[in-house]
Amino acid sequence: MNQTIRGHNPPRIPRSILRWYCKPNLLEDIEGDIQEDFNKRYTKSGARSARFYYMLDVIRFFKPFAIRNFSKTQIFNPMFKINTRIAFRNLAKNKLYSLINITGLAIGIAACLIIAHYVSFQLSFDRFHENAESLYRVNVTTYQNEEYAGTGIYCGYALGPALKRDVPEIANYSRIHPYYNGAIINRVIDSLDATAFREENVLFVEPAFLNMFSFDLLEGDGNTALDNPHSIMISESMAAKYFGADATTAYGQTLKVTGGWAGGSFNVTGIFKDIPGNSHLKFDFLLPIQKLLERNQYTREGSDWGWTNFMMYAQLIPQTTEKLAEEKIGDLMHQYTPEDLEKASLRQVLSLEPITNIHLKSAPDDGDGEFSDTKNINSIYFMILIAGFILVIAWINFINLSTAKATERGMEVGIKKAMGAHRPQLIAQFLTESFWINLLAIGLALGLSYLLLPVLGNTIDEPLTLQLSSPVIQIGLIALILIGPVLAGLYPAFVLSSFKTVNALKGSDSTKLKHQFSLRKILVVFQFVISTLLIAGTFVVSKQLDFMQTQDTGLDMSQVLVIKGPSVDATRAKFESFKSNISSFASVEKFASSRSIPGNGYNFATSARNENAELSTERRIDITWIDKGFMETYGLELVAGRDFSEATVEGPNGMLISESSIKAYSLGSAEEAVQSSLILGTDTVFIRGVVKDHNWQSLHKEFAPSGFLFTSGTTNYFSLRINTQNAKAVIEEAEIQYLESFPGNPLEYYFLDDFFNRQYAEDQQFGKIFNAFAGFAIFAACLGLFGLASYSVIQKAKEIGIRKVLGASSSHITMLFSKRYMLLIFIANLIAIPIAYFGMKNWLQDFAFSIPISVELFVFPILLLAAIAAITILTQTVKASLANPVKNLRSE
Amino acid sequence: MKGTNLGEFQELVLLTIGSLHPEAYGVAIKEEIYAHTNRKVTLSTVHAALNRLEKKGLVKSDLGEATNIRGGKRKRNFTITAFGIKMLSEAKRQRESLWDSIPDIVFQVNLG
Repeated sequence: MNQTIRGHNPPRIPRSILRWYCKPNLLEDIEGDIQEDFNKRYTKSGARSARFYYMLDVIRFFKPFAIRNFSKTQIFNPMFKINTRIAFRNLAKNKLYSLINITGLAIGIAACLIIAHYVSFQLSFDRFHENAESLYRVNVTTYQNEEYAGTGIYCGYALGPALKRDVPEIANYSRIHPYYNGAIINRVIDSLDATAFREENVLFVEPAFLNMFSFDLLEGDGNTALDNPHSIMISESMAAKYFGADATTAYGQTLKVTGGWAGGSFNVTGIFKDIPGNSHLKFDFLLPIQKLLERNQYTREGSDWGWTNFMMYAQLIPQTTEKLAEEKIGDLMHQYTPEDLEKASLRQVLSLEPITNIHLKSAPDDGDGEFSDTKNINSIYFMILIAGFILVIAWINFINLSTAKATERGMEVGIKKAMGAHRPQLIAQFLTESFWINLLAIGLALGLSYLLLPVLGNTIDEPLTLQLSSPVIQIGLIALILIGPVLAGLYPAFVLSSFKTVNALKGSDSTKLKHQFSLRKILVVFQFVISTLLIAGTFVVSKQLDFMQTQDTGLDMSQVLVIKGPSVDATRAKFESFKSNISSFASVEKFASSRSIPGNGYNFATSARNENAELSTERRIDITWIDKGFMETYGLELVAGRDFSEATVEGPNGMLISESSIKAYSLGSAEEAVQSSLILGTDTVFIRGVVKDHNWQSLHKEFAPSGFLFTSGTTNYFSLRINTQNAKAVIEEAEIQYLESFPGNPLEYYFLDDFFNRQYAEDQQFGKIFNAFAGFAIFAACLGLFGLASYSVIQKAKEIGIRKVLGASSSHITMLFSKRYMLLIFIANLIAIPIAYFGMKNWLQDFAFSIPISVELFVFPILLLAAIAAITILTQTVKASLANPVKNLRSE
Repeated sequence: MKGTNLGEFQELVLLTIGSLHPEAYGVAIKEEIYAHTNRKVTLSTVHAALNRLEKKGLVKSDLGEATNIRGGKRKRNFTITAFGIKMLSEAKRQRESLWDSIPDIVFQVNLG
């Protein structure tokens, strides 16, 4: 076979590269092999493919075993020492230039390091579990009439045993049930109750939970700790909170849990280390799910699939794959609840979501983030992009400043060449210089990021510290040390070493300089395009945040104090007495109770349709229970019909619907809607009134069909409209009344506007980070501009002197030197505007209610950047124009 | 672990050398691996493995004939040393004893 293949000529450049780096004793064999492969491919798939693979092979062979020993070549010979000395002399000679160069680079590198930490933290979510690769959450995807109707994470508790029974691929499962609305917990000392606290992060889990997930136990046995239904496990910090000085003896002590889901005394059978920040499951207490399932609610018939309050986590056996298991669980719901699903013409498909995907790549429609801590992966890509930008800006500074100095170094180059230096030697010299500047910058950057990382950590509420032990960071740093100097130093090194000896010595190389200057211009424009983009981004983010917090939501949220209702012993009589007591207080204008409040989601969602319409027109509606006083307290406007003010306990009271529901269920006009009824699930409910559309949830979300049902009074949330600036007095009074009416319940309150705006925490975080890094980028770009301007002023000192002597005014000279830089910024803006426009449009699409893209959004950033740049340039040019011309002309 | 155990890929290369005897050189090994396992490995990977194997003393090499197709370069033919044979059979024995100890239930799981 070999004989039929003719020999062809391999590409020359890759071959010489191979010959250059390859160990001589291996070269013959390797080159022969690559060429044989090349010839075979040439015959089979043609010259181009063969050449391409030849090159690829040459690159691939660049591995330690095949690379010859370079230590005897030029770069590392004694010249390195001498070059180093020259480099430091140069740095010391031009202190300002060195400072700008090193700080600029350091800022860029620091920004990269900080972002690398942030990104690696986000990517590390849930990877610390030993079984991370085989752990999955079970998701439920629902189709209605074969139309996608959302993916959820909640299911009934019967799913757990069903999975284990029917799917041998599942080794272990744990249902997880949050302690919705929080638990009241107190320590019991000698059968006396100590101070009670409300705890939100309480989970009911299976005994298997601790075997599946790797949470570190300090005390207790993970295999048995939750076997007894009266056991509780607590985190280290909770042990300190409840047992104070006795924290070390917390094990075996008793905690009393009350309110809502589980009541009674529980033995501390385990203490775990506080849950790491990079876990999507966050909890302080673990209770056995067994205890929960004893509740009436879960023992009644139909509750096994009906109460979808549980999340399912499963561990697969190692011999299987996600796909195999998914095939088996896919239609499990239809095996167990076929009638229910058919009636509603629903199809539910179960799927597995790897837990390592949950934080960044999943967005369940019913997970409000409370239990799954999700983040958009796009924001991660975005951060990486910004880091790249800042680094590029810093490198451009370096290139610009180095080439700007060309004329000065020209003499040095000329003399060296005249003495017989080869060009590679000169390149080595400049690269050495670049190497040292980069190294110093990296040192400075490490210091900077050490100081700044905790600041970023505060913003995102995660502890971030400089971690040099992380392999990602180490590889990054080594790459920066090796690649940075080459990338930034290569072009200047080639330019500087390319000077013709005679020209350099004569000091006349004007033709060359002109050419370099245009590249420098392009780079400056590029820097400022990026800066404009970042400023415009900062501006639009802060505008939108502002808009979301000041926009009329249809609900009057200012001056509304919300008190979380009692969880323990809340009786009707106690509620009534609290209500009348607090309402009699002069500063309390209005009082309302409801089962949920704006910004906290709805009470439940169900499918609804017009009473005259087909079953298939069913659409989701979100319902909340409110009492008589609610609409008045929140200033909700009624469009048609009546509100609940004369509703009675006996009912039926019908429902209030929002304006957008009218359209969704084709109810005609608001007045016509009041005449008709909706079928909620299976119940027919008449429409009592229509309320104006309002933002019950964040402005990310559109108005969706929603409604209110009547409750004569509930102890979930109390809303107080107060009419005084002295909120403190009201809170004090409320506390007295509350503790009197509901003893044993700690008071928890907040102002509704603050609470509502907490929904924007992630947007605010994004805004802050954006701000900070835009600042970094602009600072770096301005440093570069400052360096260039100061340099050109120094070079043109004589020109300025002559102009002044001939009668030019200071302002004229300032203009002359500022003009060209301002022009560059103008060009940068022209390029940046369309890019910024598309970026803004894209980002604002995430919000159902957003600011319009107006001219203002562009004008402000442009003016701001122009102003910053102008100040930077003017500090230099004004100084030059004011200087005494005699000084500059006298020398020489 | 270096030098004490055979890596999965190294074992594959070693076996291939045996099966190609006495004409086992870079390109041939690469193609043989593809023919047997459908794995597309690169030349450099094969060479790296060969280099390690030779350092461990599992194979030895000598230069063969030069052909036109190789641009007049000689090939390096590899043969397994006695030590290499010993390592291979040891690896085989380990695997077999592990296979024997897997309970039957494991093989049934994914069939049902």
